[in-house]
Amino acid sequence: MKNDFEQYDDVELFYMMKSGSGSSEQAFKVLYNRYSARIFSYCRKFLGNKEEARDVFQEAFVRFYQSAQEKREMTNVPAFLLKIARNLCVNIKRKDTSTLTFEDYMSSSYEKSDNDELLNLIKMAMELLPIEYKELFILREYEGLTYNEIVNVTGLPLATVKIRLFRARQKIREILAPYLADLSKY
Amino acid sequence: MNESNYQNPSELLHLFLDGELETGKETFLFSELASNEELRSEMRDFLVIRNKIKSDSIPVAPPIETTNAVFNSLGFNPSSLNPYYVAPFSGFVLSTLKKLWAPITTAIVASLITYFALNNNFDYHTTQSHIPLMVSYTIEPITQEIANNTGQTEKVIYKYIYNSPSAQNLASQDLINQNNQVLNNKSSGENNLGMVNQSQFEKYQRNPDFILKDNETKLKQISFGKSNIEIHQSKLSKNDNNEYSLQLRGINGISFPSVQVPYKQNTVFSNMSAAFYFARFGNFRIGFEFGNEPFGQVFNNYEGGTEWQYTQNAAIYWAGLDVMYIFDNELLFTGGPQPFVQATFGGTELGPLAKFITGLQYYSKETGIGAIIGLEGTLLSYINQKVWYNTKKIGFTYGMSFHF
Repeated sequence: MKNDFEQYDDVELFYMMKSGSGSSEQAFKVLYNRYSARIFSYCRKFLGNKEEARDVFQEAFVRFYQSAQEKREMTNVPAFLLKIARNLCVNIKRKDTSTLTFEDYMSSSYEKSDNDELLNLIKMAMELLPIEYKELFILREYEGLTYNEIVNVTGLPLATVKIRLFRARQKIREILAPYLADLSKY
Repeated sequence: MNESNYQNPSELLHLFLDGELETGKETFLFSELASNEELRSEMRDFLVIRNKIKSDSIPVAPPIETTNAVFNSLGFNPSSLNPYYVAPFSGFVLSTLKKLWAPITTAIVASLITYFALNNNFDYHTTQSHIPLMVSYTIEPITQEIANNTGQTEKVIYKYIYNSPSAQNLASQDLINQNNQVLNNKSSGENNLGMVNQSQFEKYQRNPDFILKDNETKLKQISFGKSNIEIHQSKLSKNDNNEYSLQLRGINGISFPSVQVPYKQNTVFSNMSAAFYFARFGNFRIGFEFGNEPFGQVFNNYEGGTEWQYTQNAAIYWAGLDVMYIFDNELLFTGGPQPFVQATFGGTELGPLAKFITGLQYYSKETGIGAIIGLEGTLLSYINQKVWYNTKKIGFTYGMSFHF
């Protein structure tokens, strides 16, 4: 079932959401289809908790729709969505002082990585990063954002983005050092 | 470390790998790489980590309940979100029933038809004790193709019937003719092999396989001591078979790749197929078949420089040409089902499709109603962005048929 709205680009659809008519709903559905998987994956990676990820994801898309009703200039819809999701995730993490449960960690490891030792170690190392490092690492390595896009999403200065990203990688390498040393022997 | 200072080679390396290093600083970095083993090691480690992360960067779709929650929050209807959306059911029982009703109904109907067809036409299983003349069973049926004097091919089934003197113990049984009428009631001792001649045997035998019909003849009788062996020859002309048939069957299979995504189920016609066989050449039947069933799909899509992996469970319609081969050998001990193999070649809206089935079919030549059961393998190929993907399915199938 092809939707006619799929021919429009993100920005056009975003402005259609403002109209408040039937096209508003259709435009939202197309954007939801385009980015829901990406945003949900980001939330799960960031939070490492399936329930929290669902809540944040839902809230992110509701806020996204509501924000379209306000007067706003839009140039990059996925970055805007990521920004909303990121802010919600950061708020959750700031409130939440509990540690990651084993079940949450396992559920955040997708099927493909079940037997992948290195990937599981990377995820474990990510969980050990301070939240301000972890969020940048995810945006750069998983979402593939450029430094400027990360600046746009997080609102941090470029220099801060660079140095935090560098430190995040150093930290992960430090945690994985024994494994990587073994790996380099073969 | 000062957050605004990027002078050490390690920091430059990361900027370079991210495509953010100024060109003017590349020469310095390369010379450092050439002379600094630790820096090269760091680069290798980071590339290993990055490649590993890349393999795990596949977006995962949100659960259907979460999608529902989003749309309900906004007052939208999620049912038109995508063609494969399935509204959740309120309870486990209801959802299970919805999923299973078609195969269960088909299986029950097929079983009932088979049961009644067997009772009406192959009743020797249930009336064995009514045969007072002998204890008999088929030792080994042998089927041969012979050509009669008209050039017509006939199927000949040799049945070895063992006659035991212990048949005397079956005295006082009612003798019943083919119309289920009681002929007489013999007392103990009257029934023995010496007192029963061939005409009585032919008259009172109720088993349709043992009765000499118009197209059957008694071949020979052999004695071994106290026991007799009779060899009957029945000639079943292939022209007895019906020319056309309709078939409705349920399909219950699993897809490879296996996906945990619900599919849009057609209430009336889902996990089912219907076929019409319109031509017959010897043991081959040719027909047209169409059906609807889900196929798990995992495929990649490049969108704006990003590779996405899609997972879906699409319930799609398919249609194709059936070629069925029915073997002559009947499995007499089960009432006469015939093994068959079938290949289907056709297509779907997504791409070409092939099916292979092997199983048993049975139908009553009197009523024309029959049933099938078998194993089925399916291969669906589809293309996305010039890349071909395959979905394989295996499962079992069962259904009913009507021959006319």
